[in-house]
Amino acid sequence: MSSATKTVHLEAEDIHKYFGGVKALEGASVVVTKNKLFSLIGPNGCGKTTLFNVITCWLNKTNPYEFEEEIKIVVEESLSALIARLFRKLLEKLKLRKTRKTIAEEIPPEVGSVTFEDLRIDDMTAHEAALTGMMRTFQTTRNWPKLTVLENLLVAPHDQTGESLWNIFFKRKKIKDDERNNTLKALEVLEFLEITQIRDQIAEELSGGQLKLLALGRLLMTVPRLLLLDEPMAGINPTLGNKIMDKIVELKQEATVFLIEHNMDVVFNYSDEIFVMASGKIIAQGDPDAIEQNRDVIEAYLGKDY
Amino acid sequence: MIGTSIHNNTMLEDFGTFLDDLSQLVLIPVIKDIPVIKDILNIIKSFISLIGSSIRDLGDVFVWQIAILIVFVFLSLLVYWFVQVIRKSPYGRVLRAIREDDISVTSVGKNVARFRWQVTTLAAFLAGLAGVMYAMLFSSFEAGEFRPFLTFNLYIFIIIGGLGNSRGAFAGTSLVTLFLHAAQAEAVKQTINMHLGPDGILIAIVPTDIQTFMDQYLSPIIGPLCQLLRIDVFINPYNSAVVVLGVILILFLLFKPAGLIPEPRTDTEKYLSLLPPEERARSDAAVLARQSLGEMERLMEETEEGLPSKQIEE
Repeated sequence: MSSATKTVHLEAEDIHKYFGGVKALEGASVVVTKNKLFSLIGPNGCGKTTLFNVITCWLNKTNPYEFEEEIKIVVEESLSALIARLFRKLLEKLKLRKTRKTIAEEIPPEVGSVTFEDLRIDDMTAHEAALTGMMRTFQTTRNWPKLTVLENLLVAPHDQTGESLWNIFFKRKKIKDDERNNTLKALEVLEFLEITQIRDQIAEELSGGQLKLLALGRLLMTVPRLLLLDEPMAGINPTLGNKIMDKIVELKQEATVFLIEHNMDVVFNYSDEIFVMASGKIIAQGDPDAIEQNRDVIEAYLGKDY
Repeated sequence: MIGTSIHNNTMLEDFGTFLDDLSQLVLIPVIKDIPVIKDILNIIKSFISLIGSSIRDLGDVFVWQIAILIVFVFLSLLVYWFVQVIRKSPYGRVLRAIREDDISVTSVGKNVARFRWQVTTLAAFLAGLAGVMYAMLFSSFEAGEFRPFLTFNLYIFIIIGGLGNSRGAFAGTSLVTLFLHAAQAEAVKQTINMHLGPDGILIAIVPTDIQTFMDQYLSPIIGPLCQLLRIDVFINPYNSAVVVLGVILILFLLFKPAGLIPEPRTDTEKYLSLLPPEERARSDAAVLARQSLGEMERLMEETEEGLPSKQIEE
């Protein structure tokens, strides 16, 4: 058991996510093993980003049994029953979150779990999940435009001394040391990504590719163990794209990489394993050669007639 | 001692007469005769003497009032220092990042909610302190003085002064408050006003030439017009201050949206100066070396051996 579980880095099992009536995820499961590059592909709107959002705790997963029960109440029972139920749920949320499990008949069976390095993370908030070493980027590059590139990188490190109001006034020496070390690290990251020349510029003035590299650099400031990259190649010319991918492959030595990508050249060339998603489910999984031959994948992407 | 007042304000009155004298001096005899300059100088003179007379109008000044003024100035400087320390710390950097984009701040593991409640509490505390100082100014007050319009005043302070820095807020607050208080002063109201009515325009402003010009050309037209429209209004700084302020605000939004003192652009010097000198020199050299390369050369540097995407196409 030990050797098998130790290589497993992230395990998301049977994840459901409904937005009202829209079923974005219907029992998607992924297992990601250490120090490898995984890709997640699939047609638009099949739930790739939603899966990432659930894994990184930006969205709460839905329990389909609970959901069905709620629908049943809306259809069959009165409005007052619905309000009473909502009120009870609120009370549970406020203070009786744990005791809920003792009342046997009330619990709908638990569905879905996300485990990262033997740690259940599905009840965490987004920033707590990030502090465990699971870092993500977004589909649209998000940076802080009025801050310089160096500052953009310096915001990122976890648990800085200078992030507490007390320490600002009473631990100035330690903050200075912290800042020095972080600046040295930031310069290293800039050199690794080969964007040293934009060190002093503010992020507003950067090009799209530089912004993507900066967003990647921000993650590297935090010593990530799992990188979840949402379309790192979108809107980037192939030369720079390959450069970014080479950097990502280099990162594989220290961290596991899991990325969403639409550029098939990149996916089949660099991935160790590929997950294929269609309408909220993982329909195929395997190494690039196997996926290329898979009939289901071709159907999902190109339709049945192809 | 604290309760004693400085009777008759001899010191202040002296200052007022000094300003009066100064206003006389402004009229230098040589250029006095040129009509345009004469008018302009007259206006300047009237304003200076206005300040002098309004200082004379202050009434009794108590010693405790002066003492409290000194305490307030000290307190303001303390708050300024306090805010500047936060602004320049890593904490302030995170706050600026949250202002730009809170989602990516959460994604690097910061508890955005904690930063928000802490800084809101702190801001409320400082506002409370300012409220104490403000309340000390009143000799009397009623609840009606705190109408919602006061809130908009604060926005005007910030927009005119400049967002994102204490100096801008200070400049905006002091200038706009000075303007609003000056407009309320009796002396100003008496000196600058205008009457639009059946008699035409009556202007009480210093250069009398303007009034004769008005009487000659404009009053014959505007007098009947006002009679027709049944207009009979007094326009003075007191009742048109908000209108003027609104115009100023719109002009600022159009032509100087960053305010009088815009937020200073952050620079990296602060962080680089922390580094050991040899590291600093190495990094600077690297920046210069890469800046001299073209974008294409930078890209090709690493990928010269072969482009993987092309291999696949083959």
